[in-house]
Amino acid sequence: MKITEYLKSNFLILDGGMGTLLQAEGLAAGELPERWNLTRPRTITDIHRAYYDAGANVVNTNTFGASSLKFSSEELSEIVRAAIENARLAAEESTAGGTKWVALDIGPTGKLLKPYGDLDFEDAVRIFGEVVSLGERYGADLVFIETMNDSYETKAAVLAAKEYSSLPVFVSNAYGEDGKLMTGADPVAMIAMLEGLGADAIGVNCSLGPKMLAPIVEKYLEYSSLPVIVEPNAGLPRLADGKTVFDVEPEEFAEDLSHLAALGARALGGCCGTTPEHIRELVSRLADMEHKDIEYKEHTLVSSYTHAVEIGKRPVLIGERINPTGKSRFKEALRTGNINYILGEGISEDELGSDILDVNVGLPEINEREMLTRVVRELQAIIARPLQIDTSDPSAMEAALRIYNGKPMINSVNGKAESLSAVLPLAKKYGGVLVALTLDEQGIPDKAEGRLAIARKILSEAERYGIAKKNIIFDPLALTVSADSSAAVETLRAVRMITEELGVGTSLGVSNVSFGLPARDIINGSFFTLALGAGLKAAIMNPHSEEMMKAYKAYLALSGLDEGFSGYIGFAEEIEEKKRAALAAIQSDGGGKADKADGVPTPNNSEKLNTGTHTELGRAIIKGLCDPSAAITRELLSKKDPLAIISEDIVPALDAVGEGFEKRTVYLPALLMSAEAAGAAFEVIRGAAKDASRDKGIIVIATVKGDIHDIGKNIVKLLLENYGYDVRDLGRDVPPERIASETVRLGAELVGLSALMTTTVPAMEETIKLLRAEAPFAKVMVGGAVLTPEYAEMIGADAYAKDAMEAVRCAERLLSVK
Amino acid sequence: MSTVTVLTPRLPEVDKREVLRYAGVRGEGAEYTELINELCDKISPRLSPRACYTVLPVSVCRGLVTLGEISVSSSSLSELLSKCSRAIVFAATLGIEADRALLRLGAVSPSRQLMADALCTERIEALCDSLCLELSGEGMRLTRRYSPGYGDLPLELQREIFSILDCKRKIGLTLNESLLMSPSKSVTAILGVVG
Repeated sequence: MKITEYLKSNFLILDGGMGTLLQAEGLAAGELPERWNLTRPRTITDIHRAYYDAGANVVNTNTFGASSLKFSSEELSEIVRAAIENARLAAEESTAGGTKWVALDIGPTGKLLKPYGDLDFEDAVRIFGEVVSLGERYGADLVFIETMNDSYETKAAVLAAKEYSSLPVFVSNAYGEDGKLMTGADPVAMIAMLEGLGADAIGVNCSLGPKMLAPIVEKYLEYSSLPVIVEPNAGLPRLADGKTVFDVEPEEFAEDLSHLAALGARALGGCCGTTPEHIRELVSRLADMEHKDIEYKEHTLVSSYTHAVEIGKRPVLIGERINPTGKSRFKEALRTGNINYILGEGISEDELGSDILDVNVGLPEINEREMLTRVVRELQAIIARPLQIDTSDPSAMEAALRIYNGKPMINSVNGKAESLSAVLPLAKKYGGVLVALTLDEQGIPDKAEGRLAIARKILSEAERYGIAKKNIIFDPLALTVSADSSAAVETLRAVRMITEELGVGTSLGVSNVSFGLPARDIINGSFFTLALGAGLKAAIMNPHSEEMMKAYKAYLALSGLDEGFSGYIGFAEEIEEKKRAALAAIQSDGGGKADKADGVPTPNNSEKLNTGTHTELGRAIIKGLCDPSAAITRELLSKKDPLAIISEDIVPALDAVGEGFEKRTVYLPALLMSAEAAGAAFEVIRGAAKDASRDKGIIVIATVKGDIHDIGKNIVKLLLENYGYDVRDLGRDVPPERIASETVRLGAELVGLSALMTTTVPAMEETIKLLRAEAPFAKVMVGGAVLTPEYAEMIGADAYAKDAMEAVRCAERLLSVK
Repeated sequence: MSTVTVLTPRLPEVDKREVLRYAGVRGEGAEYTELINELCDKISPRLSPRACYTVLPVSVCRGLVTLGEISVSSSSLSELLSKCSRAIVFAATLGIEADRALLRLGAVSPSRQLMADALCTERIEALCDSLCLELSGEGMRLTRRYSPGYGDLPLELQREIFSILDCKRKIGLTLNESLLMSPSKSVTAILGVVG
């Protein structure tokens, strides 16, 4: 019988601890337990057999740490073969009556994935995949991924299990006392992702005893439509006479687990510190218990590396700002690879309370697949909100879905046959909530009835692919009301009909409705309110729009979705505060034009500089005031040439601060604050006058391969930009090949490299060698904690910069000697 | 087999002067108080300080130090442990959220990233201090702490330390190929137990 069939109508009994028993058998510190499959097969078989005899249906092979990171491929193959044989033999020898399966056990690699660690996601998939295919070849009945404490590594393992075998996949995560995985995911986030990836059973093991694990198990039972696995430790490990002991005895363990079984847990066993006795007690407890039916859960969930967002309980906001449409600055950022600009948009949407961030980076002249995966990787490293992958290119979509750390929204599929056949298989494989547009080969139907019909068609097509209704949201398309006065009404009717007749949620790109009208925000806000009233569950919108936020907050308060009105009251206070600030600004302007640069307390030790000789903008920059610097620049632009602002206001201030830093009267944080204030002024000038460029040349900058420090690099970049260089930041941990190829592509005449560790300086040297061969026209300057001028010369650099100001001086020197 | 104990030491109040020192500011730095307070409010709740340690027998012979199963050649460590028969090897970390917070600040404001980095450095040092205090509270007189990379103690010792402490499973700390630790705001060190 297939184990997935058996699970539908039975409790499944799993085995207990292995590591603790091996230690009792004499496993030494530092010895790899997986080798015992070959050197002490009898011991391993006896442990497995004891579990089968105690009544376990499933034993996990002794392969927890078996991977190519620890073993050669020949030895790995032998270990997996022997491990499965040992378990199989135990099953044959056991006299117990139950059905028996052998699970290929897979534990974590011991590495952290990029960007915080150094294991690449695809390498992780390959490493797990190698073990999985050996497991299937040697006859395992299922893959059991367990004790995973990172969501991203869990995803890599599940993808590997699916891609390298056709075996059932069980997945169990290890939560800490805070109820989260080590890298931050909560249970609902994991449930969302793992259901999406097509696991067959999911749950929890290790870390905690059965009582402390109970609240986490209850979350699983509330949200999971899959059978739930529970394998606690025998309590928390404790030291007694220099030995690790576990306190929960078999009777208590079985008692606690039987409560979880009564609540609905379906596959039960133990982890560290549990023994065949624990399992025997458990079996006898469960013997006369009825199992509870596994209920299908209707929750529509998307998730990030920390949490899930449920669509349906309350309408959710999807930030639309990460999108180049109609934004020249954003397009430029995409063309020049200025990722920080894009991240900045995401960060502000996050701070403004968007629940989900839409990510669209499509431009005809860039490689969308590469850019989309890069942006998704960078966003999910620093923003905890789930992402909506927004692209019409299926190959870019697949690449992004693959490396996404969670269960994303997918924007979008539509009723065209071509779209359905390209997107539905991706949604099925990687999981996600699919945004489905109600249009097809004939375009967008004018009437709501036509859109409903397309929705029905998409729904039945999705069902054919095995995509559940709960994982679809329809976008019945907000069309421009100024082009067709019935457009808004039909869209609202479609929202209502899809909600009521299909029982499926809807989403709209709300602001489309107002194209061509003045004061669009007013129309948008009211349309949003009407759509929410019609049952809208999600809106793709601009969180900076006050009218939209007003409509949203008021709707929540009026429809009982804002308990105690705390959300509304907080929002109202913010609005009042903004009004007061704006009023104060007007009054101070009227009152004799108070100096914006002087009326503020100084966060900067600028009193040591003589600010008196500087202009108002210059003083604001010296004091490191970003907003005032931008505001003053905006005013100046109406009466002064942009280049004159740069040369008369900004550069003298930067020079003064830079010299102060070199004389040690200004410290690094103050230098940076001034640089950021100058950056704010440059940004305003750039927005107003594109020809005001001070193009002094392109500089490529990167932290070398193997090194993930980026503070020094960021500082150097900021200062170089201030001094008019076009800096292309390749990021951290950048391989020599990429630095060389980008230098060649851009024709950059200067490359700045950073390394902070003695262990990564060789990568710097290698990079310089490659640059000499492939980009002989480029000069190289280096910096970083472990470097010295002598060391820099030894590895072949043209210059060493001890700090950011010196990097500017180096650039001035190296780029002028042409 | 040596046993590894996991602790979650409490962090003391932030020492702002230390933060300023790590940020490269000399003197009072009163003008940074507001910024440091703001960063504290943002970052402190995201830290999950954890530590693990084990106690190992020590023997020292002509510059060769044997710590349980580990042997390492280092005259500076030999000197530190010359009067010790046991040593504590520990690892401590602020957790991955510190890295996330720092990377995020780097995208928008290098000055804030610099100050936040200084704050996290102060926090991990404070975590080590409070761990040492807790350990010496158990009646042990301890030497100062000594980390791989100090003096002539090779950075490669990190691999052995990670293996005996099982850092990934115990406290979520991993070691990269280039011997960098992730999460980055982490410390491993050796403390001699005097006597």
